[in-house]
Amino acid sequence: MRGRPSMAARVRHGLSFNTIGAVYVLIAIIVVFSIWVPSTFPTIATVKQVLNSNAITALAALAITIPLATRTFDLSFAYTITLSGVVTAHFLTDGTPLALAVLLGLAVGVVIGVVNATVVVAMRIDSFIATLATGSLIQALITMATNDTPIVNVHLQGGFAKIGQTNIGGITLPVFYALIVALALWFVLEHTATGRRFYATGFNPDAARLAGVRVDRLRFISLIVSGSLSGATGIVLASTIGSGDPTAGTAYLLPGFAAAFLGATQLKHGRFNAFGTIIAVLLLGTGVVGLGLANAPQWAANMFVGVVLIASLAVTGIQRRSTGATPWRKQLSFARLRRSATAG
Amino acid sequence: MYLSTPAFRRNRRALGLAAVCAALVLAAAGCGSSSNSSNSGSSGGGSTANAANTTSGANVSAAQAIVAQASQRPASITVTKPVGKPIPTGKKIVFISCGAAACELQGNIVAQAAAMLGWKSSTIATNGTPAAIQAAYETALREGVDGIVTTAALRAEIESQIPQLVAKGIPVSDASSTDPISPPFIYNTSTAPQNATIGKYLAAEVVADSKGKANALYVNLPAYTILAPLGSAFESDLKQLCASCGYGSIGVPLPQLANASTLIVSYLRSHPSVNYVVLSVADALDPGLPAALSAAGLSHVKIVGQGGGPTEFGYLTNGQELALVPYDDYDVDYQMIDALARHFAGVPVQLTPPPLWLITKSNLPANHSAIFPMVADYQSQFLKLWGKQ
Repeated sequence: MRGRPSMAARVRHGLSFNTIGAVYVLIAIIVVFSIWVPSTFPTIATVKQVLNSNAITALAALAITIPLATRTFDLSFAYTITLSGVVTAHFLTDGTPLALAVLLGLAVGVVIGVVNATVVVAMRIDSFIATLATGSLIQALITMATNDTPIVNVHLQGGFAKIGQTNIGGITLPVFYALIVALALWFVLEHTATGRRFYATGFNPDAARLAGVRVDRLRFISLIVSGSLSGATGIVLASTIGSGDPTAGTAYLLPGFAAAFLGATQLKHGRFNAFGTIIAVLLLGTGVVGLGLANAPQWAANMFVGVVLIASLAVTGIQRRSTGATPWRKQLSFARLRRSATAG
Repeated sequence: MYLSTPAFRRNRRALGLAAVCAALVLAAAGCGSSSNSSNSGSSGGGSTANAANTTSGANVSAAQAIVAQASQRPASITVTKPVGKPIPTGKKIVFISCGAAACELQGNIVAQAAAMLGWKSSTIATNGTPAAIQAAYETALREGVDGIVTTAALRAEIESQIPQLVAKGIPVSDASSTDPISPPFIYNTSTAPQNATIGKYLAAEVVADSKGKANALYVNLPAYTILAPLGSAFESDLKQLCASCGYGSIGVPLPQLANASTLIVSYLRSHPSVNYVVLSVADALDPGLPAALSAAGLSHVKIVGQGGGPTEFGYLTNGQELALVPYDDYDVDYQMIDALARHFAGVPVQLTPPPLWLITKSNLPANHSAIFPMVADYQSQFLKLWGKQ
């Protein structure tokens, strides 16, 4: 019987390219830019800028981590971000108290989550197509409600603006929100039986179902979670830009998925996980900030994102093939799955 | 020995790939830093000098005069000649929407103007793709419309529909197009050369506000080629009004719009003497920028821009933005309808720019929760030209 690996072996594994390839790429990028723009890049101000400018992207990417863990897409999350921001701005403009307006904005996210879950789980429509469709419906609602005009009012200043614009020591509140959400997701996914069931659902839904996991219920919940987190992200975004902008969330669709998928190659070997996602957001964000400081041409940022995504995924792939590590699906025996599913 | 171990060999391959990645990033940064870092001008510094209010090569008085004139709300529309002949009623026109949010708003204004002439108007919505635009023209042809109103049309995009439009005598009234006017197109306003005036206004505002101590960053959206003369005019007018003022520019590709604030903040951090940001399309580049500047400790940098809507008007009110030259959807749409009216009446169309107004906190209309016309009574002025009042 194999014993538990030694501490040294666990540390070596934790620091290996296989586990945190993106961190090494991030370090390489930091070294490159520190040499290239030594006066502005290796500073605390850069750290703050990377954190502040990527907090919303991090929140957006974290919002879709749980559904992706159950192998369920939520392509509507970017539109949910927009709609919740618009709704919150609308109610604030009408004189609704701040707390109630924020709750109504959050409720929009929850309702969209329920609708998505109903379409995907109850109606058995593929999540990719279903949430593409609901995203389109949400965009239609946004246009109907706003006539594509941003909602601006004096009530969006003051208390509401503080939600996204307050900074503590140069770090804005959305950074702390992202950290809190990441910690919460990390705890749920790594330290609860529910988290293991989410992963089991994503790895092999049929096997998970046979093992007693209520697959449909978990996928239903995962979409409500993404809707709710997207709704919260939308409120933070609306507070940051100071208006209910009918196109505000759309820009986060691709960066959110890029970060979530890159994050899945980190720390947990193919599992969508919270801190892998955060590493991915920081990696991509650091590059964009560095290129800006280096006055790179306008194509450089897109090229950077493409190169880094391929390089990080390839580095991880090379390591796995070299070490003979098997894909996560194959690693799961039915017995392990059953054990995970019934634990707790 | 470690160098001969499998662990080293597999890490060597991975490290090699990471090194290639780093090299590519380095190459990108290297190419970039030689390309558009032209912001070497001083942030002013010269001595304030003479009675003409000239600061070390800056003609602040001239800039102030331009600002004073540009800040006056336009009292008249730019079309001045009455149609002078009866305008046929009962015409059926369509507005082909470009797919952007602003275009949706235009559909309502076009419908309103058409109704005043006794015409029927409808909107064909598109998602802005060439296929959707072509399909929209096909629909218009099938519906037997008498005229088409659209924005930013590209002849090349509808090459296969143009012969049918010409053969059926269906005129197209356009705005913000970079193509020359030729059949079936009868009209174009808010053209590239006309947009140069916006650059002049913004340059004057920057020089006047800084009293000749401006160092400006122009943020361009290269995808919007219609705005290229705006950028050129801003640079040349800035240099003309203030030879000692600094100028630099960056371009933001549309896929990087979500990172626009990050790119701007990065540039400002690497060029600490820059004290003005000039946005080519405020609607697209502005949301979230004041908060990003504030978080980066760059609140002293002032923002001016072309375009803007309620969000940016809010920034003006809060003092987070200095000045805007908004796009006048109302006047542009009425001008396009006016062109069709003249065409149907057999009168030459009048090719004029839309009215422009430099707006700051001090002259922003009280009701700015939605876009507003630059000329307050534009509607009645057009009705007079059309003989309807």
